[in-house]
Amino acid sequence: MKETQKPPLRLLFYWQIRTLLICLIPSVLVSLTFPLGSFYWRICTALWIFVGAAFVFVYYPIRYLKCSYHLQEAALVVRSGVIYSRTHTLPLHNIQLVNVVATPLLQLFGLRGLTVYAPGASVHIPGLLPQQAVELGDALLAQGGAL
Amino acid sequence: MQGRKQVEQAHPANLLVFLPRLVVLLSLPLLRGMISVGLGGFTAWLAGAWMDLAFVGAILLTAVLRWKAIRYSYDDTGIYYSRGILRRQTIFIPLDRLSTVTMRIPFWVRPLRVVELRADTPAGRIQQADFTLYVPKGEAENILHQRHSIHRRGVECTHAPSRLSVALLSLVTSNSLAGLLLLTTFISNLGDFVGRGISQRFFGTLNHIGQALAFGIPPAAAALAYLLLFGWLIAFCVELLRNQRFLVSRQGGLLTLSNGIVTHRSDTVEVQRINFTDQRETVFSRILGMGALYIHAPGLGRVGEESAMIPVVRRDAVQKYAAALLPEFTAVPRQIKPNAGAVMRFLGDPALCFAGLLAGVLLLRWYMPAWWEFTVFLGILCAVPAAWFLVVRILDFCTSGIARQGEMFTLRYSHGFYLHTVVVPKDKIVQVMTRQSIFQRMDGKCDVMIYTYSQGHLRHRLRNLPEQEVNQLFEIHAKKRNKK
Repeated sequence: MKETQKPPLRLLFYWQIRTLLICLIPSVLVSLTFPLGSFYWRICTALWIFVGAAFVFVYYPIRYLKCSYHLQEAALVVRSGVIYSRTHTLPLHNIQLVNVVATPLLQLFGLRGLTVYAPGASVHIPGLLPQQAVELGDALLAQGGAL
Repeated sequence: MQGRKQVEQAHPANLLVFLPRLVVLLSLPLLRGMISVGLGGFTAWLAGAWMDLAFVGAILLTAVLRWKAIRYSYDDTGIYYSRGILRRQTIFIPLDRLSTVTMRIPFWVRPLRVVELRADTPAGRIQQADFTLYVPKGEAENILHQRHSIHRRGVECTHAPSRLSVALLSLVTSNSLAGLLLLTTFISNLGDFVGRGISQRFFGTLNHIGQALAFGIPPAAAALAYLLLFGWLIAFCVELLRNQRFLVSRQGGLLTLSNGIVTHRSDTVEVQRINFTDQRETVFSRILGMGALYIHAPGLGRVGEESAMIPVVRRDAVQKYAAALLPEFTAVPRQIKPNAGAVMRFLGDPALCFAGLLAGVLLLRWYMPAWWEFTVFLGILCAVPAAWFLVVRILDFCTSGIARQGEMFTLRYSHGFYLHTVVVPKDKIVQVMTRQSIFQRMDGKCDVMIYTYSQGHLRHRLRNLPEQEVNQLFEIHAKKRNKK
């Protein structure tokens, strides 16, 4: 894999749906705490809608745009970050194990997370196709062992 | 597997490991009850204390069974160790995989002529050594000898620092809060056994001292200052005892650090397993031209900390001794450094500290006008470390940077109140992270976080370095997008 790869687009939808589901918590709490339609109910509802919308329409699209990974000859490079741009470079010879993560929601979207561990550091790729995750994990361990 | 020793039963001193504090806690009330009722009232005492006795008996029995289950042996390939009553475990640690072997002799096991032997590899739990056992001193020396025979060839050097160096090291590493923690734990435990009166008397005396020696400052502030000073003095004494008889020697591929009077400790670390060396300086030591060298290796020193290899000496002497003991880890002048315009990246944090301090003082004045004098004193007290922090960051701006010589990287940066010069081999770097803010992206600069080989997360942060040069130095290839 000599070129930069991006996670599938469905990762963005996964993040957006997850945010909407999380938004159910403040909506229920606000409705239980304040009478429907009251001044405080309106303020709090506007607040959680604003924060939720900021995540769904601004934060996660930028995060998706800036998220990429690149398996080089001797290192795995993962780029991420919204306010700060981060580039993680993990030399392959130090990789100890890889962990493929599958939560129910990730499975629903046909995605897997991949966490790569080295002694004293770890890197997470948030969304990959199941086959891709397994192949990348194998490639990382195989290349790391060969170095 | 030549020269394999027969499997041996562990020394009875290992019982001490399995006797939990509970036995001590239960034994004391039992003993006190026994004394109070005297010999005549034994039956009455037994009727009241039989449950406690049963608990003590059960704990003792478990400890004895666990001790009886321990077997160990060693040969020229490694250490064999088996333990467990119901869940039996057999462990083999190859000698060439060991990173650190520690021989500890606390004063209370000296009459038994045993030592605590700890062996650690880069794997396993962070808080625990992979192998810990009390063994006769001769056995421990034999195991160390087996290990020395593998790494015999190479550099030979010994360094015994002066007493002044050791005292200065203790001065630098003493921590007021650690001393206070030790003191309060001691007073609290003493109160449990002797009676609450002792702890109340201690704090009462401290209050009196605060009132008597409050020269122009509020008594509460004086009490706080004297408490911190007292805590620091205790920490200094503990560190001084720990660092006495300091000796560092290199024999082939092994480096041995030994120190301590009350508890004698000797750590033998394989040079190949050293993750990095760190020449740590404070502002004072930088002004005085002094420095100390620390090393980080799995199983060496306290968890998450480095062990001192060369206690405080003149900076040129640190380099001289380091070159003799660890010629592999030589620091080189920086090749990449922050540009002149990056000064605010360094001074931003101290400026924030000063702003926060000023806001805090004004807020306290508004909320508690009666405590104005104390608030001003507290503000001045906190302004000292903030000013100190500012000086550290100015020095950091002037000296920070990265250099590479072959497979060794030299990192110069500051963390908190310390200035670090870290020399790390390329294979011990486990992750390089570059971080850019929007402004840094505009002028092609980045912060660099370097994670080094460790059982926990260990990060070195360098500020505002040119991104392109960093990428070249660490061989990070430029971004190439897949157009498919």
